[in-house]
Formats: sequence, C-alpha cells, structure tokens
Amino acid sequence: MKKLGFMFVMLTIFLFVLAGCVGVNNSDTEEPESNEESADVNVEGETITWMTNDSSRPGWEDLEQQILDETGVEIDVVVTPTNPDDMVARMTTILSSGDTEVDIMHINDELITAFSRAGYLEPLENDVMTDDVMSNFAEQYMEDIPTYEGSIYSVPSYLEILAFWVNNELLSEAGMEAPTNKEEFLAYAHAVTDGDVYGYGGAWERSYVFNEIGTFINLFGGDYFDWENPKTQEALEFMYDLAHEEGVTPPSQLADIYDPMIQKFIDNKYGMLFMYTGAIPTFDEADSYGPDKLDIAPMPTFETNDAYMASWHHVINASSEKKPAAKKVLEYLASPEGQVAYYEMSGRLPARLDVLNDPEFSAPGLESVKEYIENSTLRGRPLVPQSMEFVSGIGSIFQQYISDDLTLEQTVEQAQAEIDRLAE
Amino acid sequence: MSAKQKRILTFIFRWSLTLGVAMIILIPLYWVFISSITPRGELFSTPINFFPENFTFQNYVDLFVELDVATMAWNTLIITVCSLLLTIILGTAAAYAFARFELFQSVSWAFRLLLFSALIPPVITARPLYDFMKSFDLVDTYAGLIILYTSLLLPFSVLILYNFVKQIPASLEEAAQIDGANFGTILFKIYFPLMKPAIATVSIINFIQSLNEFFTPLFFTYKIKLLSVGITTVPRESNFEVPWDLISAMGWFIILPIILFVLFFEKNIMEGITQGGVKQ
Repeated sequence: MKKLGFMFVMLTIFLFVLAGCVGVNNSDTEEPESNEESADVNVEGETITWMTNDSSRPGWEDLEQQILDETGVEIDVVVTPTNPDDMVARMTTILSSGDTEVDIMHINDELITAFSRAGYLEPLENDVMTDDVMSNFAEQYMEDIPTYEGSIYSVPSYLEILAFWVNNELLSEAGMEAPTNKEEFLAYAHAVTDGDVYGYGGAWERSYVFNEIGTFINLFGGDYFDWENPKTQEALEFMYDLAHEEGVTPPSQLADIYDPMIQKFIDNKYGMLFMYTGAIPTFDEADSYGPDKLDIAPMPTFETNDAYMASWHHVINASSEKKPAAKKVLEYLASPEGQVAYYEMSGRLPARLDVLNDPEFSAPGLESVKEYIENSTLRGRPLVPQSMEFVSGIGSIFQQYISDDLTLEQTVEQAQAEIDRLAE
Repeated sequence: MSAKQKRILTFIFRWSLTLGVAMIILIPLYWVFISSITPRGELFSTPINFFPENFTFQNYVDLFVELDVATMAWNTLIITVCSLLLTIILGTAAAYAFARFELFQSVSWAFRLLLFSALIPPVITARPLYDFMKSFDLVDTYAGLIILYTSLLLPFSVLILYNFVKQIPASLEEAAQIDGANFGTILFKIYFPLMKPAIATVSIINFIQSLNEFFTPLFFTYKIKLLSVGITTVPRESNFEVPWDLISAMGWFIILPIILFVLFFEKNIMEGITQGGVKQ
C-alpha cells in the first residue's frame, strides 16, 4: 500500500512536469501584429538586442557604429553558441517561450526553415523585404528558404555557393582541363587517383554528406524529396561507384567532416571536391588558393549544373517588443550599403546580386561566384522543419548504403520513408 | 603453476588492466592538450604528428585576449562558491531533519521526492523552468543561477550528508539537550564539527560538478559568461570549420582545475563517500 502511494505521487509529479513542457510561443495564440510599423516610427536612441556569433570579429564595432549612424539604433549583443545543437536548444527556448529579451537573431538555413514554420519569426515582406528589395536576391533561393506561405522571414546576410573546386596542379600534371561533364569528371578522377591521392574527395560524415548527396542529385536532375525518381537513384549509384567500382574516392571519408577534407585538399590528396565559396580565405591562408593551385571551376553539367546556395539570415523575434527598431536595422542590412558593411565586417560575399555585380565592388573569388550566378541555378538546400534530424537521418542511411549494409532498393525505401515522415 | 608464477601473472594482469584503463582516459586528454598547442594548419596533417613540429601557446594567449576567459572564470567562481555555501547550509539542515525525523512518514516521503527530483533529465524541466525563472526576472542573473545550481547540487549533497548524520549517535544530541543546548547550538556546534569530512567531500564533488555544469548556463544566461558555456561560443572563421585548436585550449583551461582538485583531494573524496555508506 505504501509503495502504491509512493508510485502515485511520483506519477502525479511526472504528469505535472510533462504538462509544464507543453508551453507554446505567445505568438502562436495571439494575432500577428502589424507588419508595417517600421518606417514611420521614430526609433532614434533605442537599443535592440542582437543574438549573433559575429561580435568577436575585429570589424564588429565598426558595423555597430555604422548601424547607429544610419538608423539611430544602438546594438546590444548576446553571443550565440557555435555548436549547432546548443544553438538550436538556446534559440528554440528563447523563441518558443515568447522571450522578449532578444530582438534580432542571426540564424542558418536549417533554423529559418524550422522557425518560420513554427510562427516564431516576424514576417518582413511588407516593409523590409519588399518586392524591390527581393528582386536583388537569388530568386530560386529566396523561394526555397526564407519564404513560407507567401511571407518572407529574413534578410540573407551573405551568399555562399557550394562550388566545384579543382586542384589545378594535379590537373596540369594530368594534362587536362577542369571537367565540364560527367565523362570528363570520371576521366580526371581516374587520371589523378594513385596510392593515397584520390581524384574526388568528400566529407561523408552523416551530417555533412547531406550537401554532397544533394549536389549530385541536382547534377543528375533528380529530386531530393523523391528517392524513387530514377535520376535521384542514378546520383546515388554514381556516388557508390566513385567509392567502389571506380575507386576514385576513399570510403574512409565516411568519417570525415569538412576540416580533414579541406586539409587533404590542401595537401594535394584530392583532385576535386565540392566546397563552399566561403573556404576561399582558408585556402588563401594556406597559400593554396589561385589559378594554378586550388581554385573554383564552373559547375560541371551532368544533366544540369544547378548549385546550392547557403546563407545565414537576420530575422526578428515575433515576440520582440522593439520591432520597429529591429526592422529599421534590417532595412539597413538589406540595403546595398548594409550588405557591403556586413561584408567589410565578416569578409563574406554579400547576398544581394546587384552589389556583387557592381563594378565598384571587388572581393576574392568574386569572378568565380559571378560565373555561377550567371550560368547555374542557385538553389536552397532541401530542408524540413526538423532539419537536423532530417539531415543526419538521410546521412546515416546513405552511409549504410556505401558500407554495403543496405542495397540501393533498401536505401531508397528507407530514405523515402524518412522523408515522408519528416517532410509532412 | 607455482605460487610465484601465479603472483607474477596476477601482477601482469593487474598492471595491464590498470594501464589499459589509464590509457583510455589519458590519451584523449593528451590529444586535447596536443591540439591546443598545435598550429591550426598542422592539426589535420597526415601522417598524424603525435607532437607538433612547431608548437605554440598562442591559443592560450587568445583565450585571455580575445575570449576574455578571465571574466568567465570570475563569474564561474562567484556562482560556484555561493552555490556551495548555500548547498552546505541547506543540505546539512535537510540531512539532519531527514535523518532524525524519518519516523514521520511525510519526512521520509520528502526525502524520496528530493532524490527523485535528481533523476529527472534537465531537458524535460528546462522549458517550464525557463518560464518560471523568467516570471521572476531571474533569467541571466547571478541570483537565478545560484538558485539553479543549488537546486542541482542539493539532492546528492543531502544523500551523502544524510548517511553521515545517521552515523552520529543521537545520544550526543540528547546529552546537549540535557545541558540546555537549543537546536541551533546542536546543529552548528555539535553536528557541523562532526560532519567536517562529509562536508569537505560534498564541497569538492559539488565544486567539480559546478565547473562542469553546462546545461544551466546554456539555457539561463544571455550575458553572464561562464567557463563551461564558453567552449561553445568560441568564434568560428566560417560555418564549416571548427577552431579545434582554440576549443582544445579552452577545454584544458576548464579541465585543469578539476584535475588538480581531484589530485589534491582524492583521499577526501573517497573517504567521504565510503564513510557515508557505512551503517552503524
């Protein structure tokens, strides 16, 4: 009897705890506030809180000063955890609890997909990201990532392209030009592969491989959300063959994230790979970047030459009590001047295409990026609200396929089930 | 097999096992240290260098200059020391009550509930607790953090102290009562001195736990910077490169006081725990 009583009390406490967990963001239950409140309100002298990891950069104080000069708004900073899991936990707690402490957040593609759908963010299409402003960003990307149900939720802060990189030293040793199609891709990979040097290098750790799977699916004209699509399967088989039949990429890279992959590329162990344009400073610092060293080449055309674009976004907390001031700041950050100011602080290329195409603007790697903008379709990555679970779930299935633990049919079946479960 | 051979075999087996376990624990620590003094460009070089060709302590300098670990260490110290003091005072009083009045069913239940609270994973309570703390304006305050740390440390502390109090003969207390001592005198003049070893143990273990505590400062601070969370705010040059060298230096900065503490107070920790477990 005593034990029964004890269990009853424990159960009651457990239920109370669970009940306490079912909190929701205030914004879910309240009517959304007006979306047109920034321009006419005097926000001079207001201080907003900005959650970002940029504040440790040397140029941050200059950016703060520029924002103050242009908008009259002062910035207070809360540092974001850089570890993805911690960042998600921290930001989700703030947004879901309706916390008003943070006004602007700097978040990645994965989080904007999740937060915009959860109703945690302030829509910006009526005053910040108006049609005029929107027309200056990569159209397909803007449709894929910051837009949800007709509303736009962010100002992209910079542009990165998951580009095709080649080792020009190995290319000239092989007497070849940068591959432009699938046949040349394989021919170059075979020409370079020798001992511990491989024609193609990747980062096939279960989270990181997401980008490469998607890139190959794009190149073959498949659809990431449809694994029964023959072209999607062709891309998968191609990746499998690179590691097994062709033997031009090491299966051991199943453990690699970007750091070891980049180091191997610098050490001339890889002939080519897909990597973000943001790696330019890293290769440059290692004295390995340039037309006769490691360089960006145009995306080869298999069926298509589509490439992924990625960005981090400035968004406004839907529960913020200082929305007009926050919008004023985002208006500035979305403007050409604001984009250049952010570039000067971070060294990352602006997301606005008119800024990139401005003859006055120059930056390392700009010409290669412009080539991509002109000749490839820049897509947002295929993400779902529970993006981290989605990314690593598909990555795990892919790893089992490469490790011969699953057949192609089983891989397709399991990946499709995962997509159907999470993309609903 | 002769007795001598048996002894030699036992000796070899013991030492192999000891060295094996030690290696499992020490190699990662060694590797973190080596990464902290390796220039970034050499971190992923192949073949692997088990000692860097050009070692540098620049990362440790950067910790102080760029990441302001001194402030983090100071904040961590304030919160840890205050929480420890509060935990010892509350924990001793609670342990005394639980040990001396356990015949009352409600007291016994309260003790069980306290222990049960330690079994709930923090992630389950994080969100409701966040709302609760926010409603009292305690998020991102020293007071809020001290309360949270204390609540985190109390269950284990009470358990250790409770076992210790139970070993102290009630006759001592009764003798003091006959001599006219009140409750405060009994608690502070009789129990506290007798419980010194247990209090030392609890303090040491709680100190280590406070330094390691990651979840609470991650969720409940904005601007108060603590060491354990500092490791996750080490800035990255780009989104896809992790500054392992700086993170490793930060890791060592956090680990070192814990290692030193355990080295110096190992005996107290073990004695306190085992003594508390012995029944009269």
